[in-house]
Amino acid sequence: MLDFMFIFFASLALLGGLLMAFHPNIVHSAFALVAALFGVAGLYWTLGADFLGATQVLLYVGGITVLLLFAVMLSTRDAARISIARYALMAPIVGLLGAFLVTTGKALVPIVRAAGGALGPTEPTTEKIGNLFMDPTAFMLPFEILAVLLLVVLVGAITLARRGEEDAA
Amino acid sequence: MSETLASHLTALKPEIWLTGTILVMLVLDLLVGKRSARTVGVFGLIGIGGAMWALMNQSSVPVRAFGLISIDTYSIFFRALIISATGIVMLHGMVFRGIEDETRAEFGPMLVGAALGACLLVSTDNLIMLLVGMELLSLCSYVMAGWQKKERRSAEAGLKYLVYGAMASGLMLFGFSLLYGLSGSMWMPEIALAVSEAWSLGDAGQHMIVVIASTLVFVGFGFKISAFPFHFWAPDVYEGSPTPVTSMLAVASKTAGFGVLIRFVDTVYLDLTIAEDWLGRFGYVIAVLAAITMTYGNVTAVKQNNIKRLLAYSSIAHAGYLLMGVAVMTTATVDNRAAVGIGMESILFYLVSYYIATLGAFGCAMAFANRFGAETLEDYEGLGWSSPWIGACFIIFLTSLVGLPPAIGLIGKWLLFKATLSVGLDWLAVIAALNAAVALFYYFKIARALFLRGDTDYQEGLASKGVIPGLAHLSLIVLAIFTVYFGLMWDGIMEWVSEAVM
Repeated sequence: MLDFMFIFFASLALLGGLLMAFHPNIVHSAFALVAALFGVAGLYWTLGADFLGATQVLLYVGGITVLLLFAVMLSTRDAARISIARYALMAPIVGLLGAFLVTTGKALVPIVRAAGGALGPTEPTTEKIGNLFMDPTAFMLPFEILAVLLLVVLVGAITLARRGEEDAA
Repeated sequence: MSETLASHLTALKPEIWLTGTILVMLVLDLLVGKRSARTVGVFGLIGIGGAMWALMNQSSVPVRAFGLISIDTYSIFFRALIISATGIVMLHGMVFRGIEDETRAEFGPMLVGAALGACLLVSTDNLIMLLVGMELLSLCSYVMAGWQKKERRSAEAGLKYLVYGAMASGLMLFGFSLLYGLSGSMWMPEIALAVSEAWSLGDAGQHMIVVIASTLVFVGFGFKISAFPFHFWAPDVYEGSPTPVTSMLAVASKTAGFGVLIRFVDTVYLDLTIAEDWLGRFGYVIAVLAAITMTYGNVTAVKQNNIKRLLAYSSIAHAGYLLMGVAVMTTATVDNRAAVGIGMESILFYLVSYYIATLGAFGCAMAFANRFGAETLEDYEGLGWSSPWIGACFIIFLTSLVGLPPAIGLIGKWLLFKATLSVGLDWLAVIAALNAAVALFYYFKIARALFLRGDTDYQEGLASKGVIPGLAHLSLIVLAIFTVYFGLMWDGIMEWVSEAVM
């Protein structure tokens, strides 16, 4: 069973990657990338890394690819032909999927475990990672500093991206 | 529980000051509305002052905070350099052109954010915290480098720095993951154990992992300190960035890079008796890199015409001199362990002298650019007579950078040379001495342009362009006085440095 899942996810990643590299339409390429990244997330699950898998879906499949699609749509000349509304639905769907995976990852792992042999840690990791982030003797400080980092970088990004007052007028 | 949390937080007072400063500046910017830049800047300076005050009150007894940060004399030394440099850069950013008025209020939080990252970077011995600190410093620097978005050069600098920096971070992270795989730990002392075990007991495969991991980690640190062959970003970024940012990159960022490099080398490679052959070869590689870095920097600087670009190459050369100290630390043999301390002391002392002179030199470049719009050697002709104070200060800083008496740079160079000779790296000392001669040539070119060339008519036309604010004058004169004063009375600095090395 695990072998089957490995083959399934690995070929998803591989085929998605190939399709992304060779498809002539850049928007289709972006969707092939979604498949490839999803395949990688599946590989993480088969290895028992539930948190990593969920993060992969949430950040890469969701955030990065949507960002990529927006970049494509806003920068290509024939962008007018691509309706943003058609893809905008993707963001909440992927978000919900990611949230679902994070919460149920715990339940998924034993199923994956039962299906095949023991690879990697046998218990779910999400809860442990969460505890480590809130433990003052473990990784609380980096966690908090990352909050500062996100704040400062957000301010910087807005400052760089916004138009000057004379441009806007 | 809450008591321990309180003690953890007490140990991080300077960092809390900095974080608070960021938040206060961001909120003030919204509250004050138009023309908030000055208010925000003043509050930024007050916050940096507070951080400095909290830092100076920290006891020299080592404390650990949150299990990741070690507050010791070493980290206090480096954080003092970083925070005070940030204060001076903040002041220069407030009074000089380069940062436009409309975005000046947002510039403060970026600058202090970079300082916060740098402070954590030099204080930690855990790779996760190290990475977070380095990313905070780097991301803020990328944004600041591209701050003048309407200037093509600045936008290019920001983009270049981002692309190269992201790649260097990625390679470093890959090295970290190999070290984690080898040791199962993110804590440097445990990594040290695993590395020395892998080297003394392991097979060729494990040796390979140690070599690859060390190389990759060195890419990340080498990028921050702009050592050869990871220096290629430096000239373009230094030239394109607004000058206050350039001096931040050249001083605070480089100091932080050396802080973390020395701690990493010292903890991971030197605490244990790693087989001598490995360390010897590693040290030799660093010595060769040091020689190439300083030669490349100095020789290329000779041809430069733009002052900022010239100072950028000179800063690469200084990274080479500083790497000499690292080479001394890593080539020290088992029966000559004292050399490790000597090497470290010489780096730290040189950093102090480099810090004062480089901040000053970039400050003078800012002053001349502000007043006369002068950027190249031709523009500089005769400017020394038009603003003699700044001109004289510039000469003093250049004297220190070359390493001539009576400036502090001489003592720094002398200590480095002495350390290099003490481990038998004579050839490196010879190369460094030849380099100092080359450096003298191009620094003298600036001095000659300032005072020995040009005619006064040319100056009359330029003088109307702007003014050099009084505070800037004051800061530069104080730095110049420090350069000479510590060049004559270096005992205080020496004491501070040897305390930091303990």
